[in-house]
Amino acid sequence: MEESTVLATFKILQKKYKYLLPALPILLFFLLFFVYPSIVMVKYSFNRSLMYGEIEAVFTMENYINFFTDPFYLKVLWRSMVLAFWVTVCTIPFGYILAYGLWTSKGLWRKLLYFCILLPLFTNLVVRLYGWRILLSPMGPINEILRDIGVIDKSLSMIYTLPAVVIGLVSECAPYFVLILFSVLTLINPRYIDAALDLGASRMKTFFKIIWPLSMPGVISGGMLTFIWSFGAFATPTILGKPIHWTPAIHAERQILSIRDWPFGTAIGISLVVIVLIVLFIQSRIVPKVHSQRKL
Amino acid sequence: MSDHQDQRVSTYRKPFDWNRLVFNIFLVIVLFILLVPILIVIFSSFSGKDHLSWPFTDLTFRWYIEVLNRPLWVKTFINSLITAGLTTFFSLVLATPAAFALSKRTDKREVRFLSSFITWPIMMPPVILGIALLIFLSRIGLRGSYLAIAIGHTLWAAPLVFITMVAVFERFNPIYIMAAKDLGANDFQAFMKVTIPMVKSGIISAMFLAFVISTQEFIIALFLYSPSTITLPVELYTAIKDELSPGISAISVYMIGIVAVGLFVIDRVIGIENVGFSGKG
Repeated sequence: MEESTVLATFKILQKKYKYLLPALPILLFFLLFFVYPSIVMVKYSFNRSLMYGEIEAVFTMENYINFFTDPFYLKVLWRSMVLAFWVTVCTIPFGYILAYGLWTSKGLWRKLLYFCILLPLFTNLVVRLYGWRILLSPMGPINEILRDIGVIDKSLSMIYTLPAVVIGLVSECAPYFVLILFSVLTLINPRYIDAALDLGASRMKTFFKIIWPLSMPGVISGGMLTFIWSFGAFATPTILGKPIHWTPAIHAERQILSIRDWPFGTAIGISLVVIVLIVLFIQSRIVPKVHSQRKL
Repeated sequence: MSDHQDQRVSTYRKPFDWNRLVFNIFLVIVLFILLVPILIVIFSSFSGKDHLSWPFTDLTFRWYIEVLNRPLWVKTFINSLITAGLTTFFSLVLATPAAFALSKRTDKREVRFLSSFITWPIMMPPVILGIALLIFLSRIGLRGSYLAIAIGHTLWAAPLVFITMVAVFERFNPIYIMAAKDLGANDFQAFMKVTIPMVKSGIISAMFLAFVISTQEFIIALFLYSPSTITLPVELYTAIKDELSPGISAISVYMIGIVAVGLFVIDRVIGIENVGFSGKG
């Protein structure tokens, strides 16, 4: 009797969720190669490392305590926050101009703009950083041209500075920001803009009173993504910056690959993820509010 | 008739839009900043000198041929092609059926949850994916294989293929599947014989998307490679730290070429505007 109820429930469930069957392979793949490794990683971060890369399987908080009480790593976190802040502040106007240009363009222009945004988005980050290295190096084009026209006497040291890291990250994050903002801009009903113009608002006023507020969800999501990515950046600070500009991600990589202290390296990595999740949580609280304001 | 139309348009327009002019100047500057690293790499690859110092003179094509004779770079290039091929295969086989199933009932809670679960890996910093996979794959002895790098890249490429394919399937009319089923096909047959051929163009673009992503990715690969499977971007990453040379630039231009060709194909097949990045991800 009981068995048949179980079987019946199973049959109902089977019927109800049968349509999800094609999604099973990818879910299993992600469980095996994403969720399970993440759990193992969390486990390691609570273990203790002995000498020569060996690991003692005990439960201890000391990796996290060491990370969050060491003034050196607190400075790393603070500097990365400052870096991510500057990158976000610069990416918003930079990306907005591109997204607005894409939105108001038509036909072949739009295709061309798309191409100009997607080409750097997909091109290997190392290639783009290599380009910045050539540009900013002491013998590079910017220094030589400035010297030729007599603006400077000595080469400026532009590479390995905070602005170099910021500009590298802005050009890295901007294409994604543009696509997110663009998808929000396309949702704006053009009648609102026509109405504002008909009622005598200037184009500037229309922009600041209609388009900017309506595009806010895109600016916030894109800005949050930019913040997260530059906070978790790896390649750009290594190639365009000095060790003083290193982010938690770089320190995690050093601990894992060079120093071979896996428990401490994973603890840095997990802390990074937790901070990212907090930012995402804040975003999920802010964006719906903006959406609901929009309906009014 | 058309003259009349044009006149009507022109009276609505202001004689000259200063705002637009100023905006376009800004747009050109921003585009320039976005593209200048790529342009300078292309330009520097033609430099005739051995080292890269401005101005680039004695322009030449010889680096493009010269780098093809460096066995290290040829090997890393082949490694990249192998991992990209595996990644493309995994991403398509895994993400296409899932996109098909989950594109239909987006109003359901479990569907929305699963869709967002599939896009989680792209929200993670790639360093974290690299570390997690490094630990797990070295336990099961896969670390350093092509398969290991391909698995890592699939975590990144499959969600993007998924987003693209969901968009493709949302535009797909299910009436054809009903017709196939009426004529006696089962679910699997209908999917393989009707759905797949009808969304072929979407699949081709998703293929190029996965392929391009894998050939360009290097952070996950940095944790998983071994000397025999090192990919081109990883080798490039170690090379550019201490070397600026036209040869490296020529290799970089080959990489840019892969992306340009990929984007061109995607544009031909489904239109560049449909690349599945927009929003949600």
